[in-house]
Amino acid sequence: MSKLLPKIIFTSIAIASAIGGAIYFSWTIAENQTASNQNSIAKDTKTASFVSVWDEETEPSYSGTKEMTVYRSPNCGCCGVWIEHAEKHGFKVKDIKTEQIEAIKQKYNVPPQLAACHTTIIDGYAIEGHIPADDIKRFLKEKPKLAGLAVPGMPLGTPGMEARDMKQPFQVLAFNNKGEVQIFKEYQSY
Amino acid sequence: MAKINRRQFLVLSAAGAGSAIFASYTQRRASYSQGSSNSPLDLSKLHHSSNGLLELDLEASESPVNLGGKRAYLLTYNGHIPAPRLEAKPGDKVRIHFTNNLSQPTNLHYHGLHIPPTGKADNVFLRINPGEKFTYEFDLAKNQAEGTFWYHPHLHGLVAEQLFGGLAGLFIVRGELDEIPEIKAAKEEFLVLQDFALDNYGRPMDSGHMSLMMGREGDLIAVNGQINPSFSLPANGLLRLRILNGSTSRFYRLSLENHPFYQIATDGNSLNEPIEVSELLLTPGQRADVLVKGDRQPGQYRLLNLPYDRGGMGMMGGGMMCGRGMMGGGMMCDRGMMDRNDRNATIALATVNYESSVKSIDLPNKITSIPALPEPMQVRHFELNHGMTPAVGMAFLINGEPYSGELINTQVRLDTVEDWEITNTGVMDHPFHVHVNSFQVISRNGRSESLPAWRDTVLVRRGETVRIRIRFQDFTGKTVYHCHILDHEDLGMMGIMKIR
Repeated sequence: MSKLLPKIIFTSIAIASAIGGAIYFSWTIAENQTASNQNSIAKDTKTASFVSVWDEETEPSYSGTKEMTVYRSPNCGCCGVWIEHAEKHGFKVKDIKTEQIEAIKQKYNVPPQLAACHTTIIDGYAIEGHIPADDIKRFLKEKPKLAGLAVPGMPLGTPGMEARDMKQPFQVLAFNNKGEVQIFKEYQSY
Repeated sequence: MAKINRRQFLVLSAAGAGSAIFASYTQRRASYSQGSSNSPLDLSKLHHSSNGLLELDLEASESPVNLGGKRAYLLTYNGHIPAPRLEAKPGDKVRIHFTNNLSQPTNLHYHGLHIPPTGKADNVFLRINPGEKFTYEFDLAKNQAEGTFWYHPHLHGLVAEQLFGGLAGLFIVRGELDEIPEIKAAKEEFLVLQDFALDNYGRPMDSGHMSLMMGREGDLIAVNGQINPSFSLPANGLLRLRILNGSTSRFYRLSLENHPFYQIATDGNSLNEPIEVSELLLTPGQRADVLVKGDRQPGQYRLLNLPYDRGGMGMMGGGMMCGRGMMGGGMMCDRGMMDRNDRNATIALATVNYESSVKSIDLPNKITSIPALPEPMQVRHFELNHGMTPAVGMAFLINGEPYSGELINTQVRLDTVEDWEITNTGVMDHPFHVHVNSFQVISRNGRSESLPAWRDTVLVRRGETVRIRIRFQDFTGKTVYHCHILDHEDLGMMGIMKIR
């Protein structure tokens, strides 16, 4: 981690991403309608069953720890959906609802600027937010000298945040216990 | 895990060269801070009615503008940020020849006005495609409240993006209120609060890179398109500030440093009498009129925006830009941006300067008389939250349903009074807005509201239940109610109401 230049890299990777980031994000607006008094703008609401792009297993050979503890606010709906995602990928989740989630984040050195809605603890690492389960497996296989992974905020399209066809580009970031940050994996399209 | 080596770092830095614009902007910001409000008003920025008619051409288009001394390419009405101010009187006819020269469909909402929700009036179901024209035409009722209203786009799915691009302007209704001697003698200023996030080309940051779940916020806060403009207050006199939160998601918690002020109107509706306040929280969509009395030590007083935590899924307090903004959001993670956009930071939005003394003007004693509404014939319950739905996935919901565009969620009868109990069971605050008819807040978490006031937008904090009382008057047809964090509205937190 000695090569990390946290502040500068932090800025630069973000800008690079903004430039490189093609827009995989579009609103669905029905076509062929005119300036008449119509009232079915969101007509294309799909009733198809809910299938996530994150369902596919990409780390079938994973043999590491499967027990994880998820800390979340009692009112956090999307956290529960992420837990289902983790379970689909073979993790065994202890789900703890607490109002003291900030204390958990501090204890496990999650940098404040990387915070998301729930914090997962596995093998002593903090896994912050809506991270694809298979990225956790890849991370744990490496057993890096790091504090954990984070997907800050709540990007639409991430596991547990699937929303119609909206897929915001996002990065899975790795951090150490000094608050230094680097990119673990980048998702521009998925 | 790939370490970032020096070479990668250089590549990334080159890609990030555009960030220099922002860096230099940050440094030069101070020198831009003295925008002047004393220059004569460009008449193209004001349209008022004459002989009972307000008529104008209004074009929505992307235009180059000067935003706080910086060139930006924003979405504008008639090329201005904020949009031209419209002024009319109760009983006037309004005719707006609207042209959509945006690259997206759009429409107009007349926020707070008591006009029909149908036809050529406050019809949010209209869709005006790129290149198309539409003439809005409606009459302001004789009983239209006099005050501070506004107009902005309201096409579901695109509202946040278009408002964030800059499309917002004031619609002022003049009348007897303005003739109250003390108010008439007051110096009048308008403050349109907007926030922007610009990309490296000076264009609004793409929606894909904004934190839509929280509701997008920009780091650049402008008052009338200026950074920290100055307003003058005659010593011993009165200054009437008419303030609009025209932001997509950002809340403003306003305070005039070491100086009291007096609220005289909520959302375009007068209060019974001036209320002394030390702080004023304005959610998106809300307006307030305040009087500042020049009875303090002459000098400079900063209009501050104090920190406010509107929630966000158990995330921590200050320094949150990367948490709230997206990592991919580029500037959102720029440390310079973070430092001055900290949730715990207090910033100056504008400065009030004392100027030469005038004959002392007192505050008005009595402004209006707000009647209590009769007991409701029906009580309805609305629950606000977000969550996963089978149909659309993650969405913002009212009573568990995302906006469908077709379903009528609520049917009410004309000339009836209802209580709506709005409960926020989520983890973020939601300002709740009802079109066409104003309402009164009856209670918050069971505690009676002591201040009689008409509003069209009320904050429902996380965990809170707000009871409002509303009379459906004069107009039938379909309209909407929704969260005025417009990303939440676009992501489903809106319902259709039919008034019959």
